[in-house]
This record gives sequence, C-alpha cells and structure tokens, in this order.
Amino acid sequence: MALAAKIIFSETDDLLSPNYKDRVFLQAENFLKVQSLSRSQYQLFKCALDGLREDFQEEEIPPFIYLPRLVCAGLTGDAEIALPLSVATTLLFLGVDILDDLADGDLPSYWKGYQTSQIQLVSATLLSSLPQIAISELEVSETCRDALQRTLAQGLLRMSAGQYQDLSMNGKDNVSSQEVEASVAAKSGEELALFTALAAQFSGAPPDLVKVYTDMGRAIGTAGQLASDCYDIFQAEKSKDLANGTRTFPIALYLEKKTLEERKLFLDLLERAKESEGVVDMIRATLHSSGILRLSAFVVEVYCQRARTLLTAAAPRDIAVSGLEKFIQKNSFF
Amino acid sequence: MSYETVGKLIDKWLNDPGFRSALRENPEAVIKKMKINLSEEEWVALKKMDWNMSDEALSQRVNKFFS
Repeated sequence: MALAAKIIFSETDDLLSPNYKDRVFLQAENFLKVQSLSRSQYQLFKCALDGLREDFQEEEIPPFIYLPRLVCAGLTGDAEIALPLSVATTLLFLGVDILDDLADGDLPSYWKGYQTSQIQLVSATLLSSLPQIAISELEVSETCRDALQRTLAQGLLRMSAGQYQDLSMNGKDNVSSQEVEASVAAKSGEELALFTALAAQFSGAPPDLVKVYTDMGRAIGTAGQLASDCYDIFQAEKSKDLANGTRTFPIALYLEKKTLEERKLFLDLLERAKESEGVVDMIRATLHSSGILRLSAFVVEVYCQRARTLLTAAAPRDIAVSGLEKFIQKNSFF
Repeated sequence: MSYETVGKLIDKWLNDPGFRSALRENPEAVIKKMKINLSEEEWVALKKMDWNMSDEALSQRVNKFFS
C-alpha cells in the first residue's frame, strides 16, 4: 500500500508536464484507429487530430487535456486515472473546435482538399459518437457511467444554446454586454464546466463537490473567452472577430455606453473593418480612449476571483492546487 | 452583472486627472469614498487591478486562452 502511494506520488509530481499531452494525443490516435470503420474514415479523423496537435504544439497546457487530470488528481491523489478521460475530452474539444471554424469560415489549411460536408461529418461524429464511446469504456460503475453520459449530453445541449445565441448576435446593431457575457458563459464557460464536471464525477466526488468543480470550470472558461476576445481586438495581428462582424464583449460594452450618434459612427467603422485591416487601428484607439480594455480586464478579474473562491471551496489535494491556480491566473491581466 | 457603476468609475479615471492620481495612490480609500455597491468578488477584483498600468502595458498583458 505504501509503495503504491509512493508510485502514484512520483508519477503525478509534475501534473502539467508536456509528456502527458503527447500521451493523450497518442492514445487518442490509437482510439480513433480502433474505432474507425474504414481506412478512409480513419484518415479523416487523423487529419483532424493531427491538425489539433499542430495547433496546440506551442500551447503549454490545453485545458481539454490538463483540466481533467488536475481535477482527478485533486480529488483522488492519482493523476494517472485521468488519461482515458482526457482522451474523451480531447475528442470532444476537437469536434467543437471544427464546428467553430466552420461557423467562422476560418478552416485551417490542413483541411485543403476536403469538402465542407466531409468536415461537417467529422465534427458531427466527434461530438455525437466518439466521446460517448470513450466514456462507455471507462472503468467505472454503471451508475457513474450513466451519470457521465448524461453530463456530457446536457453540457453539449447548453453549449449548443450558447453557440446559437452567439451566432444570432452576429452583425447586430444593439447587443448588450450582459447578452454577450451570457452567451460566452453558455458556450465557452460550459465547455470547461463539462471537462471539470466529468472529471469530478469520474473521480467519485459527491454531487455538491461536483457542482463546485463544475462552477469553477465555468468561471475559468468564461474568463478565458472574455480574455481571448480582448486579445483578438487589442493584440492579434489580424482580428478574426472584426473581420467576421462578431459582437464580442469589448464591442458590446462600447456600444451600450454610447449615444445613438456615436453608435452609428462606430457601427460604420465595424462594417468597414470587415474589408479593411487599416480600420482596426481606429477601432482599437476608440476602445482604448473609452476605457473598454480596463473595464473588460475588470470583468475578467471578477471571473478569476470567482474561480479562486471555488478552488478554495473545492479544497483539492495539494498536488493539484498550483496547476489549477495556473489555469486561473493565465486569464488574469494582473 | 451590471457594469454601469464600474464603467462610471473608469470614465472618471479616464477624464479626471486628479481622480486618477488619487486612485493610483490609494485605490481602496477612493473606491470606499465613492460608496459604490459591489459584490465581494467585484470588490476583490477592483482592488487587484493595477491602476498605474498604462493602456499600452495593459494590452500587452492580454492572454489568449482559446485558439
């Protein structure tokens, strides 16, 4: 018993080691190989997975890989049990990511040569079939497996509602910051809430503790998306959101603060930004002079603070604390 | 969450140099004096903000969490 505990500790010494990411991708690849019903189907899945691996080569700690691991370690002390769950959440993330790229008209170059309908099919299969099979193969009780499948289905339903809300605000003249915030929480917040909820249930946590971890994931995901929206407008070389006419949080904050005349002028700038990158600098300057970045930073910080409070309430084992704190702090401006 | 109150505080910070200096020196006292109604989370977040940081520096701190 003492030896087993020692092995577990040494294996989970560095929960954020890059080696874990490589192992998850390798296991996901094997899983896809086993599950594919034809060589061509496998090639399609592999193209998607290789693309994801390439996209996240630089990213130190993708949440879909490491959050389940940290939650499992925080609850059980054993980080290794999370590996098959991280495979399921990776496949899930991959499906959502492809669907997002399709909605934004922003498909990466590795899809060159594939038809849109084929890419839609990969996304649909990744969302509706493969994570469910991965979960069905987890070594847990039948009751736990049922609960995990239900959590997955409900999470996908909520994310779908958030995505719909997001799409319906595209190009609109009057969106409120509260509407945008709600759609961010329902889409990106729910995605991370799903990862932490699955991990907590898988680890055998009681329902009230599952809820704490779920809420913490939601707060991290919401803060992360709001921060990413700021990055796109204030830092990115090319703003995808401005090019697509997406009404992100900083834009909504500005619009609701302004008079009708000022709104008209700004909406005109937003329209021109779809065609001309030069207009982006004017939009940035306008937002800066209105204090929008500072106000957005405050809102992100509120979500970070919520996540910190929930982390304290969750009281995970020591080995997982710094990793979870790192996920929260990653979003903070301060 | 409604940002009207914090929005007003930031407007004042942008347009009133005296207020800006006061906030930089002692943010807690200034915010308390304004008697603005904040939740516990909002209060902690507001205290955590670095009011000395320029907008330029602030935009450099933005992280991309989602691809």
